[in-house]
Amino acid sequence: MKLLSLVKVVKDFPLGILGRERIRAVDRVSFDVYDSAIFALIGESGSGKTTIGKLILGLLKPTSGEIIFNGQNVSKLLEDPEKYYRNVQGIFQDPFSALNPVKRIGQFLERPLKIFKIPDVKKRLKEVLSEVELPFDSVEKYPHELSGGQRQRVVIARSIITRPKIILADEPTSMLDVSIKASILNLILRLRDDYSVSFIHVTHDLASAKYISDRIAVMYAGQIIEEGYARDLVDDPLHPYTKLLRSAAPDPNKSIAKIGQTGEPPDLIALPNGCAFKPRCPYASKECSSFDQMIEKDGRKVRCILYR
Amino acid sequence: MNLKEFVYFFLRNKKIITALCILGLLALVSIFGPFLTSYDPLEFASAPYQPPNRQHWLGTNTFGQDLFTQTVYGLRSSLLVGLFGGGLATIIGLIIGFLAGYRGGWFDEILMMLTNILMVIPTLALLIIIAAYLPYRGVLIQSVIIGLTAWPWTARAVRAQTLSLKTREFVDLARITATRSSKIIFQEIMPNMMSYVFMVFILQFGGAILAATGLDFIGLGPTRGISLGIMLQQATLWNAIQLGMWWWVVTPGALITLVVATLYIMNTGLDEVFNPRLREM
Repeated sequence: MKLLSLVKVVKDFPLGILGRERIRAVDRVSFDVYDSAIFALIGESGSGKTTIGKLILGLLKPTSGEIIFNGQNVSKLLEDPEKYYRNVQGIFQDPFSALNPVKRIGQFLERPLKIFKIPDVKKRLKEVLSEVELPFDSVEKYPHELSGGQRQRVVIARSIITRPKIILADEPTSMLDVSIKASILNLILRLRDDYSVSFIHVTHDLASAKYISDRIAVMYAGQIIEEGYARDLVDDPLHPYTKLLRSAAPDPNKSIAKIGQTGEPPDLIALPNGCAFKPRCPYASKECSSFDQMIEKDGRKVRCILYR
Repeated sequence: MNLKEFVYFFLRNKKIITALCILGLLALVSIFGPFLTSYDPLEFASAPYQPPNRQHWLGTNTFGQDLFTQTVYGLRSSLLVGLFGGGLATIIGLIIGFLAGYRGGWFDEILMMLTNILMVIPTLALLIIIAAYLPYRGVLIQSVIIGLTAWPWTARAVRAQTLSLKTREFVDLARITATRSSKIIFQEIMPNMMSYVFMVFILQFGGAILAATGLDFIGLGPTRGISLGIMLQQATLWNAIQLGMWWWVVTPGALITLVVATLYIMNTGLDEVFNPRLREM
């Protein structure tokens, strides 16, 4: 069942003193997230993936387009934020700034319990802390007494404390040591299995996306340029940009020399006509300047003229 | 941090205890000092030009007024100006800074325009004009004048801090648990700048005392009564230094310095209480 859908969502940011110029951070993005599924959004910095996360969490308002949760428009649901946030939660990238340095972990975790009027505070705290594999005495600690991985577990504990239906995880592992990454990813998988909660996993890491996600969408310059099942997309990428991502990920078994020039990230203020990836694309042709549509092919979507 | 912890670390900090003792002593002197003397601060009590002696602990001035009496009454009005003037400036500055920083947008633009306008008007000139127009000036009116003109830099600094704190992820996390804006400001953002808020109050406290002294010194102080600034003004007017009457100048000058310096030490100590990382373990 569809849980969360984005329909042609656009987000513009004004630029300059008068705000006449605009930057299009998210450009007609549509996708669906299903019950107890993990959906990955992949892209480089500036591709708009974090902006999508903030739109879903209601921290930003879309310029146009609709975000639909459980059949209802999110902008309408946000009129009663308590109800919406009981079901939709978030985990952020930086566990070092996600915890208020002057508050104990216990205070941090109790707040949502009070706001959402969940009874049995102590029992609930015990439950979530054991779910994220932290000792109960963590509630007495200050954030600076915990390691990065432990802090991220605290943030995850807070996000599941209301038993939400969907959690947006914005690069939950990018600030953590490699050795801790896997354990956080496994935690996400286990929470999905135990509580059938869906995740939107925002990341720049193809490998971790393939590891935990059911579906992956690749973003470039604010647009989704390819979407498909995780295994298909990573093992057999269609779009030239996805291919580039795939080959740019360091693989210990291969020499890195083959990659060569990968080009510069796009300038969002002056995007080319048609396909935004054209300047970096090895297959670029004249027609690319006028091509801008999503092509569906065997259950996969790709925004590239090569598959017309 | 809960109250219990705050009190615990507060009472264990030597700087705070020292500063509190000094300030407490000064407050006691200003409250009970008048009972220790049998003179009135403006009364021509005895022979002029007396250096400190048994009868006049801090000597007398050119008119034979008892300087100890003047000092304790003056200290009282100086501390009152600091408390009311500094307090008022801090409260106004905090409210405007928080609102402008957290709400942002047009709200911010308008508030900051107001703040900037007040900032470029030379405060002392403004104070002189306002003070000169008031036929009767008491300590309370002086504090209000100072409080209403001293807040702009506090507002700007608080706004800047708020702007930086509100982009932290814990504020976003609070927002996605449907926390109300007022709660985010006062429970998430403000505790992070509690030491700053105290510092602001303490600096404003000292600043108000200095501003009042400045006004007194140029003759725009309280029309009745006495203050440390008025003592200094009179000492200058009647050539105390040239006449070798050091006791007339040193006491009020040293007291003002002592108050401001103590407030600074207090501030350093509070920083340690509020920031767990600065605590000496």
